Amino acid sequence: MSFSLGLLLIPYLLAILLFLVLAVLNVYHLIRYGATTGTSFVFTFIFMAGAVIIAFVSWQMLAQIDWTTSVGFSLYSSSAADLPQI
Amino acid sequence: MHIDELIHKKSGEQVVFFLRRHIIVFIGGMLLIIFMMFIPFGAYWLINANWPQLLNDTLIGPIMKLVASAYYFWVWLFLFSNFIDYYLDAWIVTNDRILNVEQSGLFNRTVSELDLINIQDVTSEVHGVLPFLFGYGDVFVQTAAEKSRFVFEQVPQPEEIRKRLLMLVEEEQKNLRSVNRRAEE
Repeated sequence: MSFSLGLLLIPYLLAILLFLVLAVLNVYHLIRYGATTGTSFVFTFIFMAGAVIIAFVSWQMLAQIDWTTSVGFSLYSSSAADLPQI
Repeated sequence: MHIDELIHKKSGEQVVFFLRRHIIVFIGGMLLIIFMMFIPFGAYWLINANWPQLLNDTLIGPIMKLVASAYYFWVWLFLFSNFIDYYLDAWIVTNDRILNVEQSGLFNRTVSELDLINIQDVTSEVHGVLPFLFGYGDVFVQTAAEKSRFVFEQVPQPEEIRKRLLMLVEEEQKNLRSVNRRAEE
């Protein structure tokens, strides 16, 4: 059985999408409940800057992978030398 | 936080305290989360030392990178959510009432109000080494209202808050007695 490595990106991107939704909700809460003070602004800025840095590092790390590679599952090694000798 | 968005101040009403949990409580949570950010480095070192072939595997290598990336995003979000939870919890004490604003997670927010005249007893407690060292604790407000107890959790200088609250209650009761006396006359 084989599949493209790119399929692994689907759950990853879903996780990132959920992260974005919750991040926006968090910022919305700050604004909605009137916590728009200097402190909350600084923390929000630090959060967004950190998220951008994580996104950049992730991009650098994941861009090195060839996502079109096909990978397969097999119980046995493909090398005949690894099979038990009778 | 804008006080005016939380309460409609009556004429002559003044805010005496605007309280949040002691900052050390938030810092403690933040340190734990920062520690969590080092876990992938530890895992990388362990795998590199014992099973280096896994890092270069066609399937497992990318999975580990995706998991590490998602993990960092979510730990970072958890840190920010921790701040929101800390920052949106507040206790406001005016010369007329107490307001308890409690944010639990993203979708739970409770705002309770209590008139000072309904306060029967105020108790302050400091338990533990860190609360003792940093001077924070709980203030329990016993009331005659429907909600029988308000708790100011992990607030700085709980003894001072207890004393000031009792003074405010006494003043409020004195004012009420003089109003009643004038009404009877």
